[in-house]
Amino acid sequence: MTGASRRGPAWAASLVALALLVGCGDSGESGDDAAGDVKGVGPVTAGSTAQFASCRDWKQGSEEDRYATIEDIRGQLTPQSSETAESDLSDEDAYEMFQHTCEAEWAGSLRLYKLYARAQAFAPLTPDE
Amino acid sequence: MREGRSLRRSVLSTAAAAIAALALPALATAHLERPSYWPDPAPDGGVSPPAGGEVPTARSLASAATGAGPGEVLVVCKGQNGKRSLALLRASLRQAKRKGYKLRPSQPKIKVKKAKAKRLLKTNKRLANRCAFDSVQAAVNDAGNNDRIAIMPGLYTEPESRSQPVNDPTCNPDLLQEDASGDLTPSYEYQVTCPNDQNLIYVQGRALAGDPIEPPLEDRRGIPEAELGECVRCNLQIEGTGVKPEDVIMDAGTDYTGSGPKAKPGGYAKHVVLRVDRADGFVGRNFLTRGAAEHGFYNEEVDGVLLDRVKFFWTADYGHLSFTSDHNRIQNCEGFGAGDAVIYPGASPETGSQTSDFYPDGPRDNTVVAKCDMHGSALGYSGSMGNAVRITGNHIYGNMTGISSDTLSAAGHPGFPADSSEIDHNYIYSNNLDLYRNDAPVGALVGVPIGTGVLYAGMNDADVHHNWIFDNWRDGAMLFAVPDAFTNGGGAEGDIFPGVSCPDAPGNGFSTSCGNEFHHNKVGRMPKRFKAPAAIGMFGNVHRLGGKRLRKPNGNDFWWGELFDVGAVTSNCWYANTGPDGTAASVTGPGEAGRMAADPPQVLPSDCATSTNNTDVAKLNYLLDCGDGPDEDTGPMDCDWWERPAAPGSAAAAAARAERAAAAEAFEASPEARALERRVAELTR
Repeated sequence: MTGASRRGPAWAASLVALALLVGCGDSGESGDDAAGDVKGVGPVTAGSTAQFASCRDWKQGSEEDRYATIEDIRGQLTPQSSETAESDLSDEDAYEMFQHTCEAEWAGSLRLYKLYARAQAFAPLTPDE
Repeated sequence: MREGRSLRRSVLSTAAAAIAALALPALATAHLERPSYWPDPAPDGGVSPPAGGEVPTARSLASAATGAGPGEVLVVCKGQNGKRSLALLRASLRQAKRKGYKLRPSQPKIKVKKAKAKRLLKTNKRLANRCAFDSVQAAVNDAGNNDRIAIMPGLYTEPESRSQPVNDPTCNPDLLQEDASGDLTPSYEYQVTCPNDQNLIYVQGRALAGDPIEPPLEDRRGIPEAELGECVRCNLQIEGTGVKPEDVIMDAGTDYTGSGPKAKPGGYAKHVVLRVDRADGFVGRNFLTRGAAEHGFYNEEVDGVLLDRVKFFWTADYGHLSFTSDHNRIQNCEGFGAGDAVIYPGASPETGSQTSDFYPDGPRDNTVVAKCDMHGSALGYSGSMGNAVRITGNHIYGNMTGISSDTLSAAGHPGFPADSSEIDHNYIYSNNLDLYRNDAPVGALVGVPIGTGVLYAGMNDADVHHNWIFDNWRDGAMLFAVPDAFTNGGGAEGDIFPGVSCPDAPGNGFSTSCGNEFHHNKVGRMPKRFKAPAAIGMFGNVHRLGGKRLRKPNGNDFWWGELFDVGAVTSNCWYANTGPDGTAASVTGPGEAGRMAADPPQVLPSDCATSTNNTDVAKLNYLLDCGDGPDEDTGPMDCDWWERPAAPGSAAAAAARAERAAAAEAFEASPEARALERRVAELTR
């Protein structure tokens, strides 16, 4: 039961796609070929930044990197047998949530995917605006 | 105090966010992993003796020295012919004879008698003569079914493993496994082919078979035959040969500050120190894992695990993580310095209320955590979808929250909803650690309420009994429901099996929380002659356990969310508990919302047969702001989880409570409250 999906804005997806095409934005500790195509904030592992990306990484990333991370996490946090990686939490709302949560200096170690798991639960109940 | 923003929110946003906050997945700890299956609980007769089917029995160290079977004994040591290891052992023995050692900080010292020390030294000398490895991973690679690996004293940093690349192009991306929507995780074959990509030490339990089934099966009972190879390292025992766990350290940390086993790493060479994968009948004993970007010890899809006399220090995520594993026991352990939880049995099998003929001996516990000290971490214990786990005889102290088990992290965690947790005969106290500060020595990965003993966010049929729960400055134990729609990622992972205890669930969308019983606990009071462990003050944790008075109140004893009114008996109940003065009358609860006044009922139901839930908007509103995560708002209606509460009974605590109560009363009379009620009605009809 995924509910009505509200994907991120098209322009954000386009930016991500553009960044992937130009191959920029490798981040984190891996620095090897396999990680080179992965976009996002934080260390890349197994083709994803979802596992390790933290608030500290978030604050250091570009907007494009951040949206790529959201897309990555969104995919990881849907049921594994689900054919869609769509979420009821829009990428824009996820972006805002990370922005305010990561603001405090002490929040640097908080893992983004654990925060996303929380925020994703908000989405089915958000009334249409 | 900064002015809160909640009261200025619009009606619409307040209602929406408040309802959303019911899910409270700030507690969703979870982890990301390949699609996992619960192993067949029956013994595997493909190896003799059969592997799994029960918690394995450890073989004695003395028998390892004789070389008696079954299996070979592979010895790992430091120095030529183990000379360095023997020197370390002698030093440890001297200390243990003269001063003793502590297996757990909460327990008395253990002094080793001369005769025992002599025997242990003799055993180690015999083992040293057979030492053929200076690397644990090298010994594991040579091991087969029924073998034993005896690790003599020393620090094992595994240089060869460390030199292996992360994201090894041999495996990445070719051996990544896709889930149905195309997201990638390392497959079993990835781990087998590149064992030290993520892991300092990797134990491959079974041979490779076919490719993983894509998409994963909805029924997670049994690893698919197409994926399941024969045992290659089942019934394996890995054991330190020292006096105490700290004598054998498997270490994936870097850039240490300080010296000794408790030294803090500045970085990590690998994600996991010791990973045990599909290795049924595994025994790990008498060692310490330290320093990992994720976990110290990690077992996945294993039937039969015994961890005894083990320690988990300084791991960024979990000290211990077991996942989709059965016949699993962790005992006589200690851990601290975890950014999430010290111990985490996640997605444990459906052997509780939702058991089926796949588990012919069900209902039964599948995991037991016993006689451990879990402290100095964000959480002492955690487990998403922690079905049928028993937590017994432990000391859980000095964390932000002591125990948390939830039904929030559904994605990747089969076993929805969590049920049949049993917490009994534990000491759960002084969980007041503040890691939400700029100079925190442990980086918290999760958002949890500072000052809490036990937290159930979506649990059924829990049995919490005969515990001592005291000096937790927020709440002794919290319980609230999680509507199915709020489990993240679109609902349950895999099948939902019959036996969900909530009325009309899962059809009505409310599968938690029902049938939870809290009884015969002693709350707000410590035992006579109780002596707090020195480690209780670790990392600046505060407590009030000094003095002779036994009265050591919690901020509130039992906090109950009361959610949701589904028009039927839900059977949550509290009975035969005693409070700070030794009587039932002094037990506090069901708690006000962040010290807010709440709608009736204002008593904890004691009759399990008649107890019903109640949709309480004041508590709902409190959960709203907590669900929205940490922020800098500290107004009277804002979430206070991110700061340590004032000491119970203090003037500051009384003032905060009065302020919140007044704000709550104002809220309850506000248009925002009416809007919230309407929104709840829309969602629950």
